[in-house]
Amino acid sequence: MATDNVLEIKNLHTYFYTDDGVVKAVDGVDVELKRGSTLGIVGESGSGKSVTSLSVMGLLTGTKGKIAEGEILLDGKDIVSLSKEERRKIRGNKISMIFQEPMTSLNPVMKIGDQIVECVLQHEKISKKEAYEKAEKMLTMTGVPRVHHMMKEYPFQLSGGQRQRVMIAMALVCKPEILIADEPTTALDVTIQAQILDLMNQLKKETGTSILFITHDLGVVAEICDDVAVMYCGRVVEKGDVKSIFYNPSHPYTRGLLASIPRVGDAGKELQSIPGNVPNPKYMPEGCKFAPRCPYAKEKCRKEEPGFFRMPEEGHISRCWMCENSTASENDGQKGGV
Amino acid sequence: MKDVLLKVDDLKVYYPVSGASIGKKDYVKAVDGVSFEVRKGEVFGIVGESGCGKSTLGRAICKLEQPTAGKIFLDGEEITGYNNKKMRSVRKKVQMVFQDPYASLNPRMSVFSIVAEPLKVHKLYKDQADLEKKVIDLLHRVGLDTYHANRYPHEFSGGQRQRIGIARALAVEPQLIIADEPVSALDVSIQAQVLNLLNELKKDLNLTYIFVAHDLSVVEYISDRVGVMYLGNFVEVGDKDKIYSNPMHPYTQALLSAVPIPDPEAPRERILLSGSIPSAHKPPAGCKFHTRCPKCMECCKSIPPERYEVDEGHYVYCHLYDDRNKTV
Amino acid sequence: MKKNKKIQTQNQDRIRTPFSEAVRKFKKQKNAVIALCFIIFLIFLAFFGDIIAPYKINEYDYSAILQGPSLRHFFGTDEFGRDLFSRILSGTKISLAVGFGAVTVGAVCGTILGLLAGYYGGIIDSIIMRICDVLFAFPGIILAIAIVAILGSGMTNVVIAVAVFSTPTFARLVRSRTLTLKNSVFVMAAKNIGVSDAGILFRHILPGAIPDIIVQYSMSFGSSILTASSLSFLGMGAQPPTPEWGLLLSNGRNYMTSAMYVTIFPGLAIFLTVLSFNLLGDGLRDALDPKLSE
Repeated sequence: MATDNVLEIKNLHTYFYTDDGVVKAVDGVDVELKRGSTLGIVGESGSGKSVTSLSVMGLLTGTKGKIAEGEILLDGKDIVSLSKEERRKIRGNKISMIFQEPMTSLNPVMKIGDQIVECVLQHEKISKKEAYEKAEKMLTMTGVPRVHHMMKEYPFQLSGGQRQRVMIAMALVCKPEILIADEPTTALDVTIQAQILDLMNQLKKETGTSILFITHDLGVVAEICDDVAVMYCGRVVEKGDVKSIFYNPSHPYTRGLLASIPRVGDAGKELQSIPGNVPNPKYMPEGCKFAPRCPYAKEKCRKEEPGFFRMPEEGHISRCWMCENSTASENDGQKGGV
Repeated sequence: MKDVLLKVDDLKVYYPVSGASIGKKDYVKAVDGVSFEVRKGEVFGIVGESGCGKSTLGRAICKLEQPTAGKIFLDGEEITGYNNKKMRSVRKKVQMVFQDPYASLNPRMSVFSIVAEPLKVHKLYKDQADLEKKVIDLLHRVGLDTYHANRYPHEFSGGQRQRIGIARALAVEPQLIIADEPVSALDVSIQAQVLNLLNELKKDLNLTYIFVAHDLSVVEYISDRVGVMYLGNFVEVGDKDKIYSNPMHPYTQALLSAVPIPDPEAPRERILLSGSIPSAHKPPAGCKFHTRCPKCMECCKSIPPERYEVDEGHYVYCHLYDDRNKTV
Repeated sequence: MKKNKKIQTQNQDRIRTPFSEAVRKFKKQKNAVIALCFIIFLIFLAFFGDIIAPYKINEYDYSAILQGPSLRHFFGTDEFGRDLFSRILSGTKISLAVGFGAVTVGAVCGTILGLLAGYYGGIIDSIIMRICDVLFAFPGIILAIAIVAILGSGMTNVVIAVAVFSTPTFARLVRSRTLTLKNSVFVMAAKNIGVSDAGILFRHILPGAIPDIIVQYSMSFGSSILTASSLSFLGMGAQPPTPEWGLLLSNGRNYMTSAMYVTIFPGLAIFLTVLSFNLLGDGLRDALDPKLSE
């Protein structure tokens, strides 16, 4: 199947085996990242969005988490079954990641330049001098001032926004096909966030990197993503291109999320909220996981978990029984293999 | 004009910095001469980015930080110089809700003891039965259940913890609540619940809020008047509608334009600011924003701007609105 | 809504207090549980050792000196024909009493000093911590020898000596925890509702430091037993014919080549006791980890 999907996650299940039992952090996720585009994974804390990204990166070793089932296809090749060494080669080279907290993901006792150079040398057989030049060029691209100085500085000497730029430079220096960004702007101020989003958009155009963007902020999603997958309790509940999700949300959870963001210019209107809390993973409800908080929940929702149903827009699918009637004939059932 | 509940006059909070050369004292000017008034029954929002001093300002009003200079009047009573003992009676009038619901509750106390503590400290109950009734009422008021009382904070989600924090603040029946980023640590759907709760409590209990946050849309949602802070000073203060529909200060304009809009096709006219906020340790001379300001003029680099009233109750601290500059 | 109810009842089943959480986590650690059982066994022996012992501790039997372990004398006999098993049993009481007395005094003094130093800071902090630094500058055993040399030998003075050198450890530990907790948001929240200094210190800060104190208590218990035994070994603590373990070891030293067991058994007793307290301390540290949110 020659697709233009650079990354496909198929039926991914990542479980954490804790002393209190198995926590199904990711329980059946299917998403695909088109080449050169940005896919946003949106969800609240505990939705499993970060665990999904760690599973893709192969960074679960050392935790109690394990991929229990499913495939992660990079350029059509499954990477779940690869050895540790092979996974390491992919990391940084084909897939890179930037994290939420730029301070803790940089080594505090290494100079900025050395950290980027190390990253280059891990994956490319070039001289140290060439690597240094490459690092400097990349750092210049991220728009930090006084690049020459900064290469010789330590992380604590930089501001939050600058650190995130350095992280981006490190992630992109080996020209990866995929950049996974896990809440990259959450710790930053709005004006700095605007700078970073702008930078990511611009670099995407220049380098052709595809981005998997993980966030809880729907505003940011609207700014940067082409496609969106909304996650709740370890599942994707709705997926589609950014316009269908924002203009025609079909899953009550997506609608609830959109209605609960206060928007500039909308003051005075009453804010809708989703009642209740995200269920404790130990007491996961039967049937649709959102049913306990859903205003439209019916008996069926509490008993049986819905599969995906196609929506009128292309590629727009939703995991809600309410969407069954509109497209009953195209029901793909539990497998969700759309 | 409605009654003024809180008046802050030229308040300064400086922290001494260690590492300065001997004999010379060096300061971080977290809050550097802020004046404003809060009227009874209104919500005064304070917005700004991290490090602008908004949290310090909130804490200084509660006397949890010692003000270096300036005056704070609560209900006409000057509380600036009060010591801990004298502050006790004031604490019945002003309460605070903290940002991090995970850190602001003592992990070794049950919810009951947490909410009962202010009642005990101020002896606001008759007997044990009355205390229990009051605590349970408070829990119900913030949307928690009776059986939650015997539990410990670690069993609650962020939103529920914030409700506990709010119940604790309400226990002494305060007039003014200072909410320091009360929803920024919460998920969007929970954030809306807490905002609605705060609004509801305000109506039911006739509360006045000072709402400190970095999220412009949240502040717009809840506030009546808004003050925008940058590096320890207000840059613009005014009615919410005026600030959001007609921002005058270049910083406010940039800040508003940077807010991500949850609409993929909305027109975006970003004013991208270059650089990051300078350190409050060595703030720039003149207007503190001049290093990043797209409309910086020569005078901005040396003379701190005064307060200019551009509209009724809408104040801007910027040389652009000095009449002398306008005529040029 | 019906579903909502169900979730709540499910959550209602068990109230998890910080204490019950600690017990749950502690039970998972086999080493520590075994150590705890052994310590409980030791405490039992301390109370009933004299009753169980087959011989009186000072029962001389010159017809059976320096005999190897046998059914009559489980651990053999010493140079006066005294039953070593009975003497070691009886020594349990002494060692535990010394550990308990010395560490309790040290912990109480250290905690109070640490709280004051950490909470008030400034000059109080400087004075308390400088004194601690001075005490830390001596190797523990030398400090203890010096104190005993001044006060004179004997078990009471050993207890005082050990208490003095365990105090600064507690003081420093509690001070550092106080410093972190003092700046925590929940302490600020307590100040905000008008709680007095004493209330903050004892209701908010001290409970947060208790886990550290318990862990250190267990660790210090082991090391103070060791120090007390060392002092007795050097002839500065218990005096013959007290069956103190260090003293037994010291006596047996003369017969090491001909009768090894006279040193092995008291040594083993010290070793196992100290080891159990250390293992218990390790287990408690993991169980009482302040990260309650898990």
